[in-house]
Amino acid sequence: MDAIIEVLVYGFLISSLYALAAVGFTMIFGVAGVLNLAHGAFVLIGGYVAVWASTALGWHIVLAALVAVVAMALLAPLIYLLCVRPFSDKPVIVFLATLLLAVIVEQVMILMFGEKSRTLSALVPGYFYLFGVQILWDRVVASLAALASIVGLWLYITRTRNGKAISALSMERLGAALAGINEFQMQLLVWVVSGALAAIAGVFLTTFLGISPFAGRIPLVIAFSIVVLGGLGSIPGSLWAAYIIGYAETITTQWIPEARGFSSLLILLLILTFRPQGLFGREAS
Amino acid sequence: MSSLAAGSKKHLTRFPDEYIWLALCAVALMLAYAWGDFNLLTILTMANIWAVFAVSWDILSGYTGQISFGHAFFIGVGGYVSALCSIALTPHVPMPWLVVASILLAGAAAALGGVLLALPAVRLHGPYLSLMTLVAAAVAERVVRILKLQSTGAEGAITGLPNFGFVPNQVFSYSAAFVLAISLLLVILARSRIGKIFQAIRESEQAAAAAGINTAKYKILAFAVSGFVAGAAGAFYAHYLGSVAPASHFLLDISVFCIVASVLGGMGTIIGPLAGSYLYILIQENFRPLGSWRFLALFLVALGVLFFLPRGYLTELRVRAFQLLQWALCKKPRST
Amino acid sequence: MVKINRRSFLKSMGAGTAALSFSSALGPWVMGQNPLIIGMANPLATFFGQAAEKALRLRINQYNAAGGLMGRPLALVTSDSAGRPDQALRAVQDLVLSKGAHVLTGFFFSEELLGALPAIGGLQKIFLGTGASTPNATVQVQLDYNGFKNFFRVGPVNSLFILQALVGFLGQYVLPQLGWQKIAVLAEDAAWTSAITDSLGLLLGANKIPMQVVDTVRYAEDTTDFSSIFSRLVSSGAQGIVTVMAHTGLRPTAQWAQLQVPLPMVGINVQAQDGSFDELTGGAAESVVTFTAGAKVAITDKTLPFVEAFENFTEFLPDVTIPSYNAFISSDAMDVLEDSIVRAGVFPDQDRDAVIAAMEQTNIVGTTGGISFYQLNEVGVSPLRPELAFPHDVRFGPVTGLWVQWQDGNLEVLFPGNLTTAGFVQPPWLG
Repeated sequence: MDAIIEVLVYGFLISSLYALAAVGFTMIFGVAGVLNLAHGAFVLIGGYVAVWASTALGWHIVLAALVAVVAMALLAPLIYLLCVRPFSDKPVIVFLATLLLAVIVEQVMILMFGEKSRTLSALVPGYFYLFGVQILWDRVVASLAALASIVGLWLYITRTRNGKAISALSMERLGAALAGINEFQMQLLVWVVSGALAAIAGVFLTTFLGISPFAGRIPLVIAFSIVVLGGLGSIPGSLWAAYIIGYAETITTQWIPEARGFSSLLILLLILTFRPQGLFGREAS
Repeated sequence: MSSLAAGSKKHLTRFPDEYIWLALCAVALMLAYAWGDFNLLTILTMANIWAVFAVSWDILSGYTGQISFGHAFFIGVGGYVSALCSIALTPHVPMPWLVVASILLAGAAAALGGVLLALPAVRLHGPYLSLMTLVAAAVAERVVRILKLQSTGAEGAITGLPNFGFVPNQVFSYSAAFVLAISLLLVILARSRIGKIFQAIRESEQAAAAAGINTAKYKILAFAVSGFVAGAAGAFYAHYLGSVAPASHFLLDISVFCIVASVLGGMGTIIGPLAGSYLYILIQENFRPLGSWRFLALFLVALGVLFFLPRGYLTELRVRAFQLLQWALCKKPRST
Repeated sequence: MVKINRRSFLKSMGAGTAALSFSSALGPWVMGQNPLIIGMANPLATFFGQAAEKALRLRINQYNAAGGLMGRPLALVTSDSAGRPDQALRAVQDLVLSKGAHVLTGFFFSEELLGALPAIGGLQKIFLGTGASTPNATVQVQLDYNGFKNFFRVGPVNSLFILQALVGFLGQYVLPQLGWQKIAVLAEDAAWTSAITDSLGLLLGANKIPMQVVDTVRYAEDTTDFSSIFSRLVSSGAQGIVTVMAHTGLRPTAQWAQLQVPLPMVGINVQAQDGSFDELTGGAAESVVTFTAGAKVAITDKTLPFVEAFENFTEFLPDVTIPSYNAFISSDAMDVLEDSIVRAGVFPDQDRDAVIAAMEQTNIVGTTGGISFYQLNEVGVSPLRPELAFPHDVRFGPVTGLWVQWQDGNLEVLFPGNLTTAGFVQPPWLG
C-alpha cells in the first residue's frame, strides 16, 4: 500500500516537471512546424546560466533562476532570427541547423564548465510527510511552478488576443495572415515563451538531477516523446502524455529499477505503431 | 518535412559523374597508400569505415527522405551479431572466411532488423519516423546492456574478436576496398530504376503512389538495403576494433555523424556523404592539437557549410565543374 | 569558399599538424638530446585526465632537473581520448605514429582501454595503464601473451579485486566498528557490478563474516528519481547501505542527503573521489565513504612528498590541486618505468623485450603501495573467478587501496588500520 502511494505521489511530481520540459517544444513544433532539436540545449543553457549566476556571482538561487529565464528568453528568438527564419522554406536545413546547434552547445558547455556534473541548491530546502510518504519541498514547488506555467500558457493561448493569434497560426498559416495576424511577431513571441519555459525547466531539473554537458539530451528525448504521444501542437495532449510517461517510469523504478529506461521507450514504440498521431493529434505528418 | 529541400540536383543526374568521382577517390586512396605515413593511413582507415556508415544512411535518408536519427541501431545490431557469430563459428571456420561470413551474417541480421523497423515505420512521416528510428537505437542499446554478454568487460561489451591485424597499410587497404566497393554498388543502385523510385518517393509520395508505385514496398526496401550495408559496416568495424560495445557501436555520435557527414558533402548523392565523411574525420583527427576544442571546431565548420553551401561541398564542386566543362566546350549553359 | 581538393587537403593538414604538434610539445633543447618520449592518452576534458597529466609533467620535470633518466631526458606528448573507444584508439595511433612516443600510459574509462587495446597490441609500445579497471585487458594478455605482453596495469587493481577489497572492508571494519549485521546493496546496473551483487552473500559466508544482505537494488544508470529506491532500502531493515557505483554517484548521493535517508552510505563510489564532490552534490559529501587508490596520508614514504609536490606544482593547471587516483598511479607508472629501465640497462626503444622482462619482475614501492605484477598462467588469484589469470595486473595485497570518508571537507582514512586518520562519523542528520 505504501508503495502505491509513493508511486502516485512521486509520479505526479516528476511528470509535472517533464510536462514543463516538453511544452515549449510542443509550441514551436505546433506553431512553426519546426523540429527544434536545440530544445534540449535551451534547457541546458537555462540550467547552466543559473549555476553560473549562483556560483560565480554568488547570487541567490531565485535571482539566478530569473537571470536564466531572461537569458533564454532573449537567446531563443535570436536563434530563430539567425538560424531558422532565413531558411523557412527549407525545413531540412532548419532541422539540421538545430541539431548542429545542440551539439555545439554541448561542446561549449564542456569547455566552459568541464564534464563534471553541477548542481543547484534547492529553492526550498527540507521535506515533509504525506500519508507516510517522504516528499521534498523543492519537488512540490517545482511541480506547482510547472503546472502554473502550463496553465498560464494555456490561458494565454486561449484567452488573450496574441495567444489566439498564435493558435490560429499553427492551424492555418495563410488564413491567419489574411486575418491580419503579424506572423513575424507571433513567431518571435513563441520562441521567447519557449525559451523561457525551457529555462525554468532547466533550473528545476538541475536542482533535482544536477546538470552536465550531455544532460540536454534527456529533456530533448522526453520532449520529443511527449509531443509524439500527446499529439502535434496540443498542449493538453502534452500534459496527458507527460503524466503517462512520468508514471510509467516511476512504476518501473519502484518495482523493476533496472528496466526504468525501457518503459518510456516501449510506450513510444506502441504509440508509433498503433496511433502515430498521438492521443490528441490531428495527423501523423 | 517530406521533401529534401537541399537544392535541386536534377541537372546532375543525367551525366553519371559519380563514377568519375569514385575513381578520383580510389586514386587518392592509392596515393595515400603509396606516400602517406602510417598515422595518415590509420586516420583514413577510420574514415573509410565511418564513410560506409554515412553512405548507408544516405541511400535511405538522402534518397527516400526518411530521415533516420538512430542509424547506430543497424551498426550496433550488425556489430553484435558479427561478434556472436564469430565466437560461435571460430572452431569451425578458418580465418579469412570467418570474417567474410560474419560480415554477411551481420548485414543480413541488420537488414532483417531494418525490415522489422520499417513495417510499422512505413506509415509514419517526418519527425515521427525519425523518432521511431531513434527509439529503435535506444531500445537495442538497452537490451544489449541488460544482456551483459561478457561479464569481465566494460559495460555490455564483447571483446577478443578475430580482427584484421594491426599492420596499418594492410588494414587500410581492406577498408579502402570495402568502402569503394560498397559506394560503387550503392551508386549503381541509386542510378537504377529503384534509385529513381526512391527519389520520387522523397519528392512526393502522393505523386509516386498516384503513378502506381507501391511506395510502402520501396520504403521497406530502402530500410533493408541501408540496414544491410550499415550492419555489414558494423561488423567490419567490430573486426577492426577487435571488440563491440555500446560505447563504440551504439554511440549516439555515430548517428549524428551520419547526418552531419551527409550534410557536409551533399545528401542524396552517395558520393556526397563519402566526401563529407573524409572532411569530418580529417578535421576531427587533424585538429588534435586543439585538444578538446576540436569537436567544437568541427561542428562550427559543419554549421558554416550548412549555411553557405547548403547543397554540400561536393555537390557545389560538381556543379562548378559542370559549368566549367560547359564553358570550356563552348556549350550553352543549362539552367541550374 | 576555398575549393577543397581532397589530396592537397590531406597533405597540408598532415604535414602542418605534425609540425605543430611536435614543436609545441618538445622544446629545442630536449629535442636535440633524443629524449625518451612518454605518450599519455587520457580524456583531457575531465578532471581525471588533467590530474594525470599534471602528475606526469611533475615527475618528468623532476627527472629532467636531475639530469634525466639514466642520463636521457624525458618528454611528454598527449592525445585526447575523449572517453570514446574510437577516439582512444586514434589517440594511441596518434601518439605513436605522429608524435613518436616510445612508451605509452593512460586511460580512465574501461571503454577507452578496450577500444584501444588492439592498437596497443599492434603498435607494440609498452603501455602502462593508470585507470580503467576492466579485467578483460589482462585476460587478453593471458590469452595472447606475445600479442599483448607490452600491456601492464600499474593501477588500479582490477574490478574483481576491488570487489574483494569491499568484502574485506565489510568484514574487518564495518562489522566490528559499526556493528552492521544487516546491509542493503545499492548498485548501478552495470556488467561489472553483477559479480558483487550475485556473489556478495556467498563471499561473506565463505569468509565467515556474519553479515546478511537483506536487499539489493540494481538501478538503471539514467535513473532520475531515487526517492522510492531509498524508501525501499530503509524499509528492508538494513543498518546501512553499501554502494557499488562508478558511472553514477552524484545524483544518488545528492538525493540521499536531500531526503536525509536514515542509513549511512559506505562502499564504492568513484565520483566521491573527486575533490569537488561536496560542491557537485550540493553539500552532500559529509560522511560518504568511498574506495580510492591514494590520499594525503603516508601509505608509503613516497605518498606525502608526491601530494605536496603536486599541490605546489602551480605552473601547470593551477586549478587542479588534488591528485585523483589515476594521478597517484601515473606517478607510480613513472617509478615502474624507471626501475625497469635501470634493471634492464636499456631503453624500451632499444630493446623493448628486455624492458618487459625486467618489468615483470618489478617489486618496488610507489605512492599507492607495493607494486608488483601477476605472472603469466598465475591462476587462482581471485576467489570470484579462480579460473582466470591476470598477467601484468598489479598485485592485490601489497596494494590494497584505502577506504576514506568525507569529514568536514577532507578525506579521512578509515581503513586499513595502520593508516587510519579518523573514526567513522554518521551522516549529519543522524549524528
